[in-house]
Amino acid sequence: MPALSPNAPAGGRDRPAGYPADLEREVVVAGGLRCHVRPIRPDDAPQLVAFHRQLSPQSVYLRFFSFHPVLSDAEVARFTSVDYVDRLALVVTAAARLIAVGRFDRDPGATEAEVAFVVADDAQRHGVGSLLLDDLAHAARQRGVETFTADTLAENAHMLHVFRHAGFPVTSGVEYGTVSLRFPIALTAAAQAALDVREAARLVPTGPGR
Amino acid sequence: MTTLIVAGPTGITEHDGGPAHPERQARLFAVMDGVRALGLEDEVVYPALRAASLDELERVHSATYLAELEAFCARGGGAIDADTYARPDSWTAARRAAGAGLVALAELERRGEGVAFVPVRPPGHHATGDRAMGFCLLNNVAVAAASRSARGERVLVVDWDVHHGNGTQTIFWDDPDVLYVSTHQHPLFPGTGRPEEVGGPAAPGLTLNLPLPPGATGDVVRAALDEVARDTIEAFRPDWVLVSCGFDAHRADPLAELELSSGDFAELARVVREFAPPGRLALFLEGGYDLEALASSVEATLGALVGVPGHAPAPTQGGPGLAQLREDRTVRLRAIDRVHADAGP
Repeated sequence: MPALSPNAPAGGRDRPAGYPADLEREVVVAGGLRCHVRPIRPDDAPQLVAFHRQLSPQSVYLRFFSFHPVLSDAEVARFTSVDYVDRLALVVTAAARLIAVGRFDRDPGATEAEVAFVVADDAQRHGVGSLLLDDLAHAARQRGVETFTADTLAENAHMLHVFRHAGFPVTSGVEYGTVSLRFPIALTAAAQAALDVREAARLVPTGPGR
Repeated sequence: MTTLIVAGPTGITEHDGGPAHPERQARLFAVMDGVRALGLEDEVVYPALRAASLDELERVHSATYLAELEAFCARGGGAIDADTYARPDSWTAARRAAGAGLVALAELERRGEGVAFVPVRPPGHHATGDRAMGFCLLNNVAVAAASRSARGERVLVVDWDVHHGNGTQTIFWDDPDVLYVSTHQHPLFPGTGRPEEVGGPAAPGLTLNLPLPPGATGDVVRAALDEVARDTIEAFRPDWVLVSCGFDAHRADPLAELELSSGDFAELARVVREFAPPGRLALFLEGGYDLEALASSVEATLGALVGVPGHAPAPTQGGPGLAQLREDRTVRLRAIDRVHADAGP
């Protein structure tokens, strides 16, 4: 799916080893917001810190289940230096600003990975979460991941909606206000159909006046 | 005029997570700026502080947890979770913070009048019986409340910190001598504090949660305490009123999204004073992470309680949350009913 769009800027400065440039692409999300999706790089660290700082306390809580007002240096290093195989993160930028980050992590070689993402407050409800889930699932399938798991707070209705309407057969359990989700990410006919609908809406207009 | 007793500050230097951590040393300097701004000078009573003893702490914390925390600090401390840290001297700092509350109550008893303020670090209301979290190591307000409930006195804990005091709630969940009332933004850290959390079979209804949406203003918080909680509080007839007095519901606070002004805290202080017998009101510093808001809110709150006219910004009004409070009342009553039903005849 995410073939490198001819419009996408080249991977840029500081491409680390194993950087999967095939995951870069340009898309349009709801409201006409034009976004660029690409794998995270170590030089994203300052942007990631700034992104985290401007998240609302509620968004931080819903993502990390804690106060977590400031990312520690160790976390910044861990989040931005990934191996692109067992740990992979994608960032979404719009007008050169980082508006969302998503990642999956697995034990080396495992077929199950935990997925998580967070979207800037002013970019929420534009389909950016769905976009990240789709592209993370695509990258994960390429790397042999078969199942995603996610822990989401029961209050996080938007996130639960994204997971439950992606076209994957989601099973869930609730414990202490946390919803644990689990779903195979194989592109079944149903998942492909749901994806096709979303992808059609994400097409970047081409031609003059774009 | 009412005497102001300040049992603190303590925990300025011993417990230091660095200037980038929101729960930082400078908070206490700002708080004490607020005290000084009252202009009471020598009229403020500063009683001698002491650390809480293990016996006093074990009323609310497990001996195992206390031993672990002491050993963790002795080994040099470090990160406990993404939010919470301890330094080598944090064990001492936390015991002094818990002790300051005990000193405050003793001083109120000795004088038979006055209002006490306990400006300490680390804060306490997230610490449970066996776990540090949310910047908190020992639960200061709970240690103080338990010291009086142990004598058979009834203690009301009002927690207007913008975060739910999960630690205090858990500690007194099934304690018929302690009524816990909390206003807090929800959902927000630590995630607890739903209206259906009402207490255990020995204390149904003695946990009262009043969650508020982002944007709630002072009039909503005031209504929660003055109108929604009033019946429960008056029926409980507290001998003591202890306030988990965070100032992070202030509109300038970086860790939450309520919209209170410092003037609103003066209004809240007037409400809780009505619930307390004379000389039985103590306010424990919890959160509050904007330094200017801390200073002005402390000044407004204490000024209202001791009768120093201030120039606090006007109280705020018009934010969301009132309708939800009314709906939550039904949810709460049903939950209390279920606790009774489960407890049997």
